[in-house]
Amino acid sequence: MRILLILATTLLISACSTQPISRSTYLLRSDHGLKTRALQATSELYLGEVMVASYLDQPGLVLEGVSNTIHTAKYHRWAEPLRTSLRQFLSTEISAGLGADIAISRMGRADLGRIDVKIDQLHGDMEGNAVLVAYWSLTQDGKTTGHQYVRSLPLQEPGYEALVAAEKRLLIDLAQSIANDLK
Amino acid sequence: MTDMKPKIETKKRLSVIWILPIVALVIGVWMVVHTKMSQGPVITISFKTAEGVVAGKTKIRYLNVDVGQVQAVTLNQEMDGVVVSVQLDPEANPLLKKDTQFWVVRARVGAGSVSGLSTLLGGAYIELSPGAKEGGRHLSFTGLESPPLTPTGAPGLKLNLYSNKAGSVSAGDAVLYNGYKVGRVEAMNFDEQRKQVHYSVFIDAPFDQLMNSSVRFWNVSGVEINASAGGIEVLTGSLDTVLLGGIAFGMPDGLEVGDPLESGAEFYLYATYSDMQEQPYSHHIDYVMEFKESLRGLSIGAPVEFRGIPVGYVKDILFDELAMESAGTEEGNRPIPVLVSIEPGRVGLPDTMESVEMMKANIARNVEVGLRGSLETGSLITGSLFINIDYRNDMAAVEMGESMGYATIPTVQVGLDKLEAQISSFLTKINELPLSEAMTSVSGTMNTMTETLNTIDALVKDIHSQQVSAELVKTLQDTQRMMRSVGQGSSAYEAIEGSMNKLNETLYNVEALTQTLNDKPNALVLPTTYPEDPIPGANSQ
Repeated sequence: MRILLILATTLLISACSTQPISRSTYLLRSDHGLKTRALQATSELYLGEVMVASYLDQPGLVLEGVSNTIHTAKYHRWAEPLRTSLRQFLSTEISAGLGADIAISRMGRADLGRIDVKIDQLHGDMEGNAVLVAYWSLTQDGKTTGHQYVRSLPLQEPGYEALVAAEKRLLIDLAQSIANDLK
Repeated sequence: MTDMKPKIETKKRLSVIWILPIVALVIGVWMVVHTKMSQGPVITISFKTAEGVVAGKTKIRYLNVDVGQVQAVTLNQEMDGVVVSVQLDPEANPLLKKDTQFWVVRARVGAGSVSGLSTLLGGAYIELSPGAKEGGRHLSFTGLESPPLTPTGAPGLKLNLYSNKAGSVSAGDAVLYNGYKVGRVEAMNFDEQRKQVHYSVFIDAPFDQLMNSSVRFWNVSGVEINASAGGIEVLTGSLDTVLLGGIAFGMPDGLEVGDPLESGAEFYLYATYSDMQEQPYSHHIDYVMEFKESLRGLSIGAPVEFRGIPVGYVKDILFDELAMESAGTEEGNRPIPVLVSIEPGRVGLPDTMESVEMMKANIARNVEVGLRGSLETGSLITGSLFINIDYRNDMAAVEMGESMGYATIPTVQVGLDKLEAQISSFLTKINELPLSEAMTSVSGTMNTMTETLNTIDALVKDIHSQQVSAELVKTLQDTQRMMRSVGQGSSAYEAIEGSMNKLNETLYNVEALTQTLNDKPNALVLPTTYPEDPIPGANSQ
């Protein structure tokens, strides 16, 4: 009886075992500035808030389907919350575009201009495009000017790696656009 | 001359030649009688099938001792079963009572046990379990299709449990008290009249002494996991109940020992221990309360309280029934009926029908003197509502009505109405204030204060004016330094921002965990697999 119970338990437990799940995690980092150097804010600007839309504020990459449906990927995730990684990414890319490092905080100076960015859409679609819709604003000397950025980019090949690469290219382009407007 | 006439006389003695046949006859009769006397009774047993039963071979056994043999196996008149004729030994006579049970012992492999392996070699046999009831000898029986789980006449208590859903409990599963097996589930079937699953349960003596009207039964099959602010709580029964299913019983927290039970008592089988603790009372009264305001935030199971003390819960919102009743009528603005269940056990009364009657009478009496129900906010954050029952002033005397077949407790609107009354009361008090006298007094006080300030001003200008100014500048500089130390870019600010980011990341992980648990509640125990993600751009190729 005991042996049978042990056998049954073993069978049950072995039935619960599954193949390991293949999960991909993607890190969003800028390729600029990857050299050892002294960091010093040389620009009169600092990056204020970087906000993301609610549907992006979760780990999975997002795909848009038909009729405004979205699918949040279970096996393809960002390594960090986008609201954290985007701040670092945009700060580096805007600095690269300006040719001068922008601060990531006010650093106690009231005279610095403040850049705020809101990422409204950042996802792929089933047709093979990556979409980025963003709003950014510059507040300086008590005045605020707003800008909108909308662009989509075709994926080089099907798959999430290509989607991440396309989204990264779009974000670099957004940073370059901000830098060009600030010059 | 001598008379030589022969004398003929009839011989009366039986001829010796007859002795042999007579002895043979006597021996024959004796043998027949002896055979009949030593044969014992012939009984018939009905079974659904004769699987494993062979005429002239299959034995009848009691305590592993042969007490008879199957003589014949025939189909019954209805042709839907078999009748087995059995020749019993004479010593088996006392075993034949009205409730004597017979069943075929053959190899059986069940979820929890393997039995009858010896019959694989020796063949099936019919086991006899003697009855306990008196009332003469019986010769015709209906056989059991499976061995009885409890021997006939075993001391203990037989109970009936009902549940709305068939769980993983089946016949033969254990009944546990504090993890110790004290009985078993004898049978499980569906009660068509009640539309519920019925379990017949036997509690062995002396554990039947643990039973009283306050005990509750719950299903302990599998593993119950409760995650709350207090942590994660895992509730399980014994290993065999986790794997095979079982039932546990006990007293709910705060309930007093009830009345002793008799065989046949009925109980509800709760799905989990938590369910049992949430609604441990078996006696309740149902009322309908009709509300005109929005029921957003009022959920089924929401508490019904009397001055903060829970006395029941919301059982249902009868909107469907209302729509059915109002269909085709012009009564579009009818209040929405809410069915509530009031449980006397919650206020310390015994969980009995007597308490129900007493509470029913009390509520009817108190409604006449102003007892009313109202919807009130339980949480400002979640917006959840509960029903409060309390006495209201200035209420016209009303009697309890009836709606949807239930007695109704009248309701009053609170919230905006209550706020309006409070504002009105506040304005009345303002009106009653002696404002003109107060203003005259304030004017006088202001004049005095102006004079005092002028005096102080002159004094300050006159003495230590330079020193005070220096102190003021120093204080302002200190304040500025302090503001810088906690302002944006400061180490304190960075530390706070870092902590906030850490909190955000934690919430981010909690959200991912919550999403996984929402998708698959047993993900903490079993591996989670989802369908593969769609591939972006795959459609364009």
